[in-house]
Amino acid sequence: MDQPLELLQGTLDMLILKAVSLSPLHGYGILLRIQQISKDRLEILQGSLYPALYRLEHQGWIASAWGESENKRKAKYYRLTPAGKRRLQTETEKWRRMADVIAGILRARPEEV
Amino acid sequence: MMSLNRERSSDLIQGTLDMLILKTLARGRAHGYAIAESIHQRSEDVLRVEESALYPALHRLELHGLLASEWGASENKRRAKYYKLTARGRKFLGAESAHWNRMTAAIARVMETA
Amino acid sequence: MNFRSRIQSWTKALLRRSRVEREMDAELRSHIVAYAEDLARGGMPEEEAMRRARIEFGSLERVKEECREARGVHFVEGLWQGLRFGLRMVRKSPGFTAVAVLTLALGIGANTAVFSIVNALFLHPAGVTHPRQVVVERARYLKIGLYNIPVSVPDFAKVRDSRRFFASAALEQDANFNYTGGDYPVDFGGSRVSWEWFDVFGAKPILGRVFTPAEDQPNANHEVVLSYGAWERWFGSNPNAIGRTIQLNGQPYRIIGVMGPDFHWPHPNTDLWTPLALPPTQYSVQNTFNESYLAVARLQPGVTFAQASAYMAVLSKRYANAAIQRFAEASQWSIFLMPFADHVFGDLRTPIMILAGAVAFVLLIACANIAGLLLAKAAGRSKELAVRAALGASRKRLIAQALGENASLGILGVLAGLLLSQLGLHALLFAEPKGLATGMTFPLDGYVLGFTALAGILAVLVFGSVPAWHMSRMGPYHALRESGRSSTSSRGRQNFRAWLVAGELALGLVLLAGTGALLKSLARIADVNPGFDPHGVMTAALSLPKQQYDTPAKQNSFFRTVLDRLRETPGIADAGAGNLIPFVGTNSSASFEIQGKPTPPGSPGPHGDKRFVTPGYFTSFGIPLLKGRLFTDDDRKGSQLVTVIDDNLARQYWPNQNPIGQKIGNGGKTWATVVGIVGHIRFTTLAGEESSSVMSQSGSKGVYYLCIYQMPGTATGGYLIAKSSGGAASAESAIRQAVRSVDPNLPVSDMMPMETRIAASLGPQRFAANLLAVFAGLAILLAAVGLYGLISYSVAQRTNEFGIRMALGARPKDVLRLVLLQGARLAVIGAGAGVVAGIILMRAMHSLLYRVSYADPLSFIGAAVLLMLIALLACYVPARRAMRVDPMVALRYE
Repeated sequence: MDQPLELLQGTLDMLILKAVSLSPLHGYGILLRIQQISKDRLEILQGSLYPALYRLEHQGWIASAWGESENKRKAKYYRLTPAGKRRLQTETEKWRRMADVIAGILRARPEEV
Repeated sequence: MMSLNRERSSDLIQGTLDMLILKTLARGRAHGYAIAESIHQRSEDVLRVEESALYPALHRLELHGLLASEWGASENKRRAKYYKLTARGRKFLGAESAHWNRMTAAIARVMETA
Repeated sequence: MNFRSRIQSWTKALLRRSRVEREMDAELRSHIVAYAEDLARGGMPEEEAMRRARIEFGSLERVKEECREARGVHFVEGLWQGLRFGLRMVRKSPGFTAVAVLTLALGIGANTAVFSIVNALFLHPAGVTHPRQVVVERARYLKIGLYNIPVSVPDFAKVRDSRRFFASAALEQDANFNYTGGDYPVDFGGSRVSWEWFDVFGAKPILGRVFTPAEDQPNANHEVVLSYGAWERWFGSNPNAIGRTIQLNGQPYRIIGVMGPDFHWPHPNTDLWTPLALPPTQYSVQNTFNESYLAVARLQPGVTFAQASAYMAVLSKRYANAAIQRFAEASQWSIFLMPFADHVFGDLRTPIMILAGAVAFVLLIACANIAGLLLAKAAGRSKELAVRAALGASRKRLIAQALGENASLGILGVLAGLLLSQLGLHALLFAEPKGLATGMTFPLDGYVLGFTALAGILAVLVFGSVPAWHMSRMGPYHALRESGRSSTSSRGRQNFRAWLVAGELALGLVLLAGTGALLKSLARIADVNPGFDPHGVMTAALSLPKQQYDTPAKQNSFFRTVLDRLRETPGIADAGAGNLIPFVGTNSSASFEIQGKPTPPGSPGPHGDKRFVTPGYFTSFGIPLLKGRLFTDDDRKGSQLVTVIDDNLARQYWPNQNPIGQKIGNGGKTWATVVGIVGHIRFTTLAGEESSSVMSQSGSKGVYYLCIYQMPGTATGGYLIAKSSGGAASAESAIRQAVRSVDPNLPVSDMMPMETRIAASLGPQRFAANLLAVFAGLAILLAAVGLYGLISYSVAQRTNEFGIRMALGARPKDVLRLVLLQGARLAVIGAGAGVVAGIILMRAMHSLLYRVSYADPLSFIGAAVLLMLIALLACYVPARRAMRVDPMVALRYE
């Protein structure tokens, strides 16, 4: 079965919000940050990152500004807005609850009905 | 790899729902309604499976050979379609659960970074 | 959700599109470069790294498209694109555009015209600032049948002194002034006002100033403020007119100010204002129930109409003494407030609201028509749209684009509609019955423009969303397949259009039936016998200047001489005079006592309309004498005081008795003996309760007449009446000559045949009926065009089918019947729905209907028949086309 395992809705948004909550990052930097912390276990499709960024900006959860990257190139940096901070909190809580519940079901032995 | 489907509005996303269905059936055969109820109860009322998502999922899983179905009488003597796990389904469930655990662990790691 | 950030991103999308696009491109490219650099750092050759980075990133265009979608850019962009596309279409298909724009312009134009009237009459009367704060103080006696009459001076004082609720208050009384400074005597429509009059309306003069409190005093009142019109007409707009002294009624008056062109209250044709200068005695308690003034007031800022009205109830109960309290309670007297616009234009409210409903229907029909046209046109474009949808254009974006296309139609329609509304208003003012809104202007102000813009936007949303929704609802698969063969195509669309047309026909029927009912009602009212014979009667007003005619003897002599001269004129059958005549809009009434019949406690006592007339009044009007005698020349000062009553009064106070010889009076020592009984005449309206907004509301109230010559001080003015055997018009010069021969300086005004006055009293109904007829015609025309379009299109689509039918032996007649039946079915559905809707909606009109039911069968059947005929006519042309289909050509037609 090569069907990819899909995530709970909003997980990518949550990860992006989390990544930029630590410090402002440009798009590629967000990708690297998530990979690095998760020890390369999470890989985000490059194509799906930018639409998510634009959507989050449109909703007012992140804001962007042009700045200079480490290697002296112009880059668009994203940072968390106060609204985004609140959003991140509620999303995180919701995700934890869901993950706990599902993990609980998966851990159950077949005989426990 | 992970991908995202943001159009879906139900609480459970397809892949996760598939996994939960398979897990429920690992305990024995059940009809559709019982599957939904079981997930609802075992999640302490957090997860609610919509009929509009459940039945397409069941059919898809059957098509892929992960489930098998048969007609039988339900508790209240009504005819119902019962689903049960196939060997392939059992193997798939094992792999997917492991994958899921790894991924949630990875996400949790990211989320817990201060 | 953060609304502001959304609006920001939308405006950014619209205004800084290229920059946003550039930045997006730069951002995505820098991502790929950064990734490639990382790959190169891992040891991959630079070129290979770049290639890998590109491949892994995937299609740049697809990601950009998704980004745009995520930002909500698409909707705005689609709209913009559609707008440009729409303007291109205008150039490409001028025929379609012309029909659509004209249709919309008719709908918008009609609505703008009617809204202009609503605005000018009710929302923003000319020259009044914050019109909602301006109120009129009125009085009523519920027990005596007086529901809405002017107020007395003491009543006014109560309001004037309540500054907590009223910022300013003023009294007014109409007065005519003879201006003798010019080449011939002119009668100025004047208005005597207390000094705060202009403050109440928030009006400022454009030249000079208005009155001071000191000038509003007896014997100090020799200042005059001119209206803009009078200043223009009589003083050539000369600014030096200020300070000049003019002769009015033989008295010098100094011009101190000129009002702006938009201020003309209390009447649309007021020429000038002078101080009312009431002596303090007028405020005495004795005047409590003596109502003859118009009182207006401005509410304090922040005070609502409801609050002020509640306070009026308190003021009403503040009685000056026990006797006043007794009569007030017995007659259920109170003072109350009315919004200023309601007082002035109250009669027009219902007709205007009905017209507003009618034009809303017209606009709805216009929208349905345009939606139908767009649906037909969409058929030609379905392939293009399907391809775009298949290529991933989102449903939202397609809708946005379609709306944009329609917006360009909408803009053109609104502009053309504004033009039409101005033309229409001119035509309307021309057709408007006399006296309804003379001197009114309907300015194209910000409110009207705002309304028009709003109507335009609504219209675009209504007619635009139908096809937009329809086309986006079909999946790409459906549309691609559909465009394969045209003969079976667009069944759903065609059905939808049919529903639209049936709806249009239904709306049209409602308007037709409403028009029918109103016309029938008008005819019934016009048939009402007013109780007198207006044929050949000419009437004119005059007023005798006090200074010149300072004694009752001089006044009586003037009237006697003028009437004698008139009667001597060849062709004049009879002549008379009275302080009031029927159908001039005013009335007057008073309480009286009957000798030997004391008023029981708790009863308000006898009350009746009261008129002062000369002996010729009855004979000139042809009012029938039922019993006793009329006034004669022997009823003069010093002879026995007599009165003539009408049969209503006789029935009311002397049921089954003979009133002749009975005596009535009003508290004094003198009693008037009843010598005759005449027939009752209609006085303010032909039908229903007598007038609403003017002096009194006395449906079948009794009347008592007193002889002018016996009542000193009553012959100071009024109306001359001349009955001519050669038609009313021939009496005009006779009246002028008779007056001139007695007093060459006395102007005659308001010259009008009695029949014209009666017709004018039907003004609001006639106005509503005429306009409703126009709008119904418009509605039916539009619906017929819609039906014609639908059937034409369907015939073109079915050419093939008709060809086959005819090849198989169908005769042209059968094809004709087939097409006509298709149209007739729609007409029947439309008519049926229209009848149901009409009966429900026309209840709102019942106050305008006289002896006609709102579900009048004749009106509905007539409307349905007319509708069917027009529908068949609209179908006949395309049906003829279908009949002439050549089977051979048709089968090849694809």
